[in-house]
Amino acid sequence: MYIPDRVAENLRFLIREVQLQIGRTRVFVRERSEATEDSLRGRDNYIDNLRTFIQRASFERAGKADNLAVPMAATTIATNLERIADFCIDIIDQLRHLDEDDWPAVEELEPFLAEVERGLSHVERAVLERDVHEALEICHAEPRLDELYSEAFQKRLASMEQGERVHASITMLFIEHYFERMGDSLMNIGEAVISAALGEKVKIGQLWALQDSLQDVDPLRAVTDVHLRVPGESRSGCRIATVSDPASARAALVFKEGSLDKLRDEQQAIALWEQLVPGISPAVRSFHENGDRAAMLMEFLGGETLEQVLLQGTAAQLATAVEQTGRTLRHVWRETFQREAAPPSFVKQLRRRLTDVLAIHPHFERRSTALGNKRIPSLAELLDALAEVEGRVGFAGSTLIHGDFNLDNIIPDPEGEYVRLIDLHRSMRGDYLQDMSVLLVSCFRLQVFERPVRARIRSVTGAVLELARAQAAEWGDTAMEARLALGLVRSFVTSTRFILDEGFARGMFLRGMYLADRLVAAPDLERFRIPADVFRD
Amino acid sequence: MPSKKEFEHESLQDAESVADYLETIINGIRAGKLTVSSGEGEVDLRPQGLIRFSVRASERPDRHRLALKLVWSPGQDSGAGQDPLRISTGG
Repeated sequence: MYIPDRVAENLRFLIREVQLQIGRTRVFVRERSEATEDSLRGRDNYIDNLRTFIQRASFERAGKADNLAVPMAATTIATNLERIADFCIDIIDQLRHLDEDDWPAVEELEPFLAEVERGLSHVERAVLERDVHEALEICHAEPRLDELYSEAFQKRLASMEQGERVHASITMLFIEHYFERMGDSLMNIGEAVISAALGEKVKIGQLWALQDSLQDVDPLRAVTDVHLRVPGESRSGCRIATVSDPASARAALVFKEGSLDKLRDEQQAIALWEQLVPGISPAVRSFHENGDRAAMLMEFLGGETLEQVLLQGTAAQLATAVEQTGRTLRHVWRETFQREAAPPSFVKQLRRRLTDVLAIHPHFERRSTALGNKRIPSLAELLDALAEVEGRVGFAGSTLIHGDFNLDNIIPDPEGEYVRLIDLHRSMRGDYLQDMSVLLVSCFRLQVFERPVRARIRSVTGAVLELARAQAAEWGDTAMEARLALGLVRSFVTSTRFILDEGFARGMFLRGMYLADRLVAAPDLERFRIPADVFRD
Repeated sequence: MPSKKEFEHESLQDAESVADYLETIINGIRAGKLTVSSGEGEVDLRPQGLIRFSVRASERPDRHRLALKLVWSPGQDSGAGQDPLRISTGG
């Protein structure tokens, strides 16, 4: 089941939030505190937004996808998760009908809570890793909750027949019934995963494409001889699998299947980069066209990414890797530089992704405000003003750029002169600062908070900034820093849609707003400097 | 890691003397150093770098309220044990 990143991330948020609601329900039973009730009710809207977002994104996809099983499964899963959260609210409503004497002990509801939690704990892996065994585990919750409900039913019935605490017994029965219905929802989730996974198995066309591709490389090898692992869908909408030889147990090839246009773009970009730096990108071993679809088999690049070196490498390894990254960029910039305008489009990129950001972090929306006679523009007004700034900081120079130049797509080569690059499908001619800003924010957004690591991250952002400054000086790119700041605003803000940690996401968003305010207020954009503090935590 | 040090002071003031207090705080922020001390000890604040600043105002018939909050990270050992990285740009 190939779930696009955007949807996957939101599903993850939703799963976590529903688990928290169950936890809060337990706390409320135990403590009856208004604060818990408030936070339970307060999260309801957020959960609703997540579900709406997932549904919308899935429906949009459904229009394009040839396989409807996945968008439908994502929708079913989101709807049922939200239903479980709604039942938590229903349970709270019922509990309020009870007076102190009848308030249930936590132990009475604990078996239900524990079973729902157990079921939920399998959802993430089942859904995101398409794990059918995990999906079966989710399904198991349903008969167990049924069983618990039927025991409870007998117990409540007995006490009602004896005329004991009739009112409380009825209320409790309602509550227990909501748990039983949570079981039904869990069952729906598990089934959705299983049916999408099985639906995929019979997608025979894809297997044929792989078979053709493999035969180009090794005509004697049949598709059944290799292990196929499907880690998911790339952001470009291509399906990716790694093909490994069971004998060596290492992934040897990457198989991509997707729209002909996108894969052809990538193939052409790879050829372009190869001319500049031989061996910079994984070699394309075969390319097959089939109508408007294509399949491509590429070499799998082993080795650590720059992110891994940054987080786990020695100081010397990191220094070499950073130096090598800079060397590669300077080489490519010099070789491909042309005196032609590449108008920046950071504000447009930001606007395009803003809806997604606000769907996940609705409180980022900034309304127009005034403090005394100091006016603070709304987010929309600020973006308008930034677009105006963008019009004044252009540079008559373009180079070949990677287009998604984050730490994960850079693979330092300890033996070579240059780094190697993957995911070149967004490569084009453009503003070199597009790659610079993406790289800088991909460093900052690493969610590792140990001080020595943060210091390393800052040393990398410092080196990247210096590289951009040196290049700008060489080319006479006088408004470089203001333009780079625009790129940073864009990346700081849009990256938050992948960030689960609310405080960290907010810190990034506020950094974006800070730079935006500074840019708009700058009297002379050519003298604008990016404050080093932006990359301090 | 040293434990958290806290300082709290509450009093009734007229608008004029509140403005005095705020001015002291403003001067401290400008100077990058603001020390608050009480009998038990001293809290030595060094406002610098990016400061998270929130303003909250509310109006009710019987009570008006303005809360200001400033949060920042102290700058100490910001580059501890880390030599700055350089990318050679010559050649």
